[in-house]
Amino acid sequence: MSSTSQKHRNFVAEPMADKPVTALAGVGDVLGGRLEEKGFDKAYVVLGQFLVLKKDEELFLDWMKEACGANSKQAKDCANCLKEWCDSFL
Amino acid sequence: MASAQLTDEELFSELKRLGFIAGPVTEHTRPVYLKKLKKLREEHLEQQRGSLRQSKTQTKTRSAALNNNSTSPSGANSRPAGSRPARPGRKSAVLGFSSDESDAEAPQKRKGLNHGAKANKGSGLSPGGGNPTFASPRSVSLSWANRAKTSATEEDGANDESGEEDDCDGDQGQVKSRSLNGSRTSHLGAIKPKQIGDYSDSDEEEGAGGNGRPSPPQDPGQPRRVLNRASYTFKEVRPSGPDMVSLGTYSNHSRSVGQRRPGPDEELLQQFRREGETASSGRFSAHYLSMCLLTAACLFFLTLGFMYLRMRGASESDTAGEDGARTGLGRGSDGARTGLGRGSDGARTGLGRGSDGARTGQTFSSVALCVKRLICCSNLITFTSLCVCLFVFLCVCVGAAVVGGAWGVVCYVKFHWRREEEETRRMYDMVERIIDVLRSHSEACQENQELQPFLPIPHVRDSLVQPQDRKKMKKVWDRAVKFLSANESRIRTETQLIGGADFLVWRWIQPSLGDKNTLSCSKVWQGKAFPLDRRNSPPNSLTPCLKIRNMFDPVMEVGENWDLAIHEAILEKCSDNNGIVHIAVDKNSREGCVYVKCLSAEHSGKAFKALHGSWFDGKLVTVKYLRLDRYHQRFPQAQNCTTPLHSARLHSASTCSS
Repeated sequence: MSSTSQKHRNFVAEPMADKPVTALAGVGDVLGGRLEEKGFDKAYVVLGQFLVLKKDEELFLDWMKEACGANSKQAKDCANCLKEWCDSFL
Repeated sequence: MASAQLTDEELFSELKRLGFIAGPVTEHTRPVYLKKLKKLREEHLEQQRGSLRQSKTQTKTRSAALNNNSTSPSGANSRPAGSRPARPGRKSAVLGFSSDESDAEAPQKRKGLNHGAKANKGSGLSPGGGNPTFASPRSVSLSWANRAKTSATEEDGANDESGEEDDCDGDQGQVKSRSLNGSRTSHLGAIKPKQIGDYSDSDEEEGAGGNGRPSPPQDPGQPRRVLNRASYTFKEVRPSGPDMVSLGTYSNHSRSVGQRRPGPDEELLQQFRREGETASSGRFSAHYLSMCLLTAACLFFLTLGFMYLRMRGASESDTAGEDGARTGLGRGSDGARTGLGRGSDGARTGLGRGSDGARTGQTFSSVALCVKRLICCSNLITFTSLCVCLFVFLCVCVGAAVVGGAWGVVCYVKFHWRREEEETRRMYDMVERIIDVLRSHSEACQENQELQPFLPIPHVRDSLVQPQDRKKMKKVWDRAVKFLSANESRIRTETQLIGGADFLVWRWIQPSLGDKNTLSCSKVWQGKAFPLDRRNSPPNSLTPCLKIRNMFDPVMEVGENWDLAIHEAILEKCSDNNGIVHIAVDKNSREGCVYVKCLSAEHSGKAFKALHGSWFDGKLVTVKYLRLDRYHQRFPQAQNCTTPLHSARLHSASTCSS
């Protein structure tokens, strides 16, 4: 059972509302900036992408790496965060 | 393969055909799905190729000899021979992508392009998915092979490859130039190593900025690193940049590859072989090391023997030795000699059994004598002899210790085994005593109904084992209890409340005495648990077959005919129901299932209402409807049952003709 970061826990604890994309686990300032450039300025837009990829983790990882240059760990953290959020609130 | 020309729908249907249901293809998801498509295609081809590998290798070995200095036609010919079986399958996979293929040898090219495209995407994709370390060398090797193939086949350059690489733009130029170079010589066997070298060089170049290629995201970097690792042998032979076109270099390369035709399979085989060789070399080195140690030991003893012989020859002349030196070293030498003597004695006794022992003992004693004589010799020799004797002493001690240890281990094992046997015998003895006690107790219970039919386990133990033995016998007792719970069918372990405390008890299950069981066992219906309403039962009966659960407990049932009692019980309960034609008790089911077939759904509905939710023999019975065909599958004899069954007790005539 891997431990989750504080950011993950914060994100998963409540509906994301209008949180910025940097509120996602694994996404810091740099990645957040890159995502915003591409138009993913809010966390729910990234959620939208995750859902459009049918919540497939592998595909989402690929997309993250391609879209903002995230490494495996960051992308995986983000994917886990979104997945857990979906499990709770979707 | 122009991915840009694939519409979203085509991409979606391609993915679907390869077994992957994709989500919507939008501008953001498009590249991801393209990568996925390439990866799936690659896997698809891998499967196909894997099945055809055996047939291919034969053709390839034959062509390998020809290939080193042969011209392209033979190379090209041998390749089609190998790839021809794969072609038909390949064709279908490429149908959707064939729009811009312009080459004459369309199928091969397609295959090559597929490989090339897939490998490219695969190399980008592999770090993300699956097993990067394993997949990427393979995919990369595929890319090598297929670049080679494509370059060899395409005379007019891999123009069409450009379409596939929309995220590694820099690669295109490389590929083109390389393919052109390759096609100039059209030497398949050599192209691959050259291209591998190119790739590794391109890596270096990239680092030096010689290419001017835009640095792609991490993904292609990773497989290139892997590429670097894997292309060691090629790199060392490889002199310089991508403009080496000479035939000589190519043949060098091909020879360095190992005189083999470097198709994609060959490349993989070579990789595996290389790995195998390194593994085996590791093993060989370990083996070699042990052999060295063994020979060193043998040599040492041989030299000692020779020295002894030599000394014996020389000792007669030197018997008038140095007393002074002797006394001076007397203590040390005595100690050493006694040690040696002890060591040799010990070794001799320890090895008394083996024939080796006698010989080595003799050698040791002879060594001791030899050393003694050495000590009696001149001053110069005494010092060296002291060293030698100390060394020998150490060796002998070690040998004795090893031998003694082995002997000790053997003795201990024997002792342990004997003890195990003893304990098992005691356990069985205990088990038998327990069984006797329980049996006698149950018999006593039968006479005297006031006694409980079970005995608490601790009470049994305390009655069988004397107080002073209890601690000793604890282990035996535990094993006996475990044995009983696992192997004894007549004794059942349960938990009962005795005098307010929970005890684990043993109940002796009497083997049945026939009719006694049916009379004493209370297989009666004991009322209904809940009224049947819409919530817990279907509104109308669905099928004429019922499955009744929890009518009995198979482990608890004793006797041969308890299932008939169950039949009886059901028929009694549904005595007003004139439509039960078949009853089957599943004796082995843990849930106590009974299957009932009725004449019609209406009859089964009535039976359902009568049975569902009733208490029977202390168990809550539940009923379900079963499909008629499944019932007939399970009980084919029920298909012909049409006469209603009646309870034997209520109706004197009970008939069921099956």
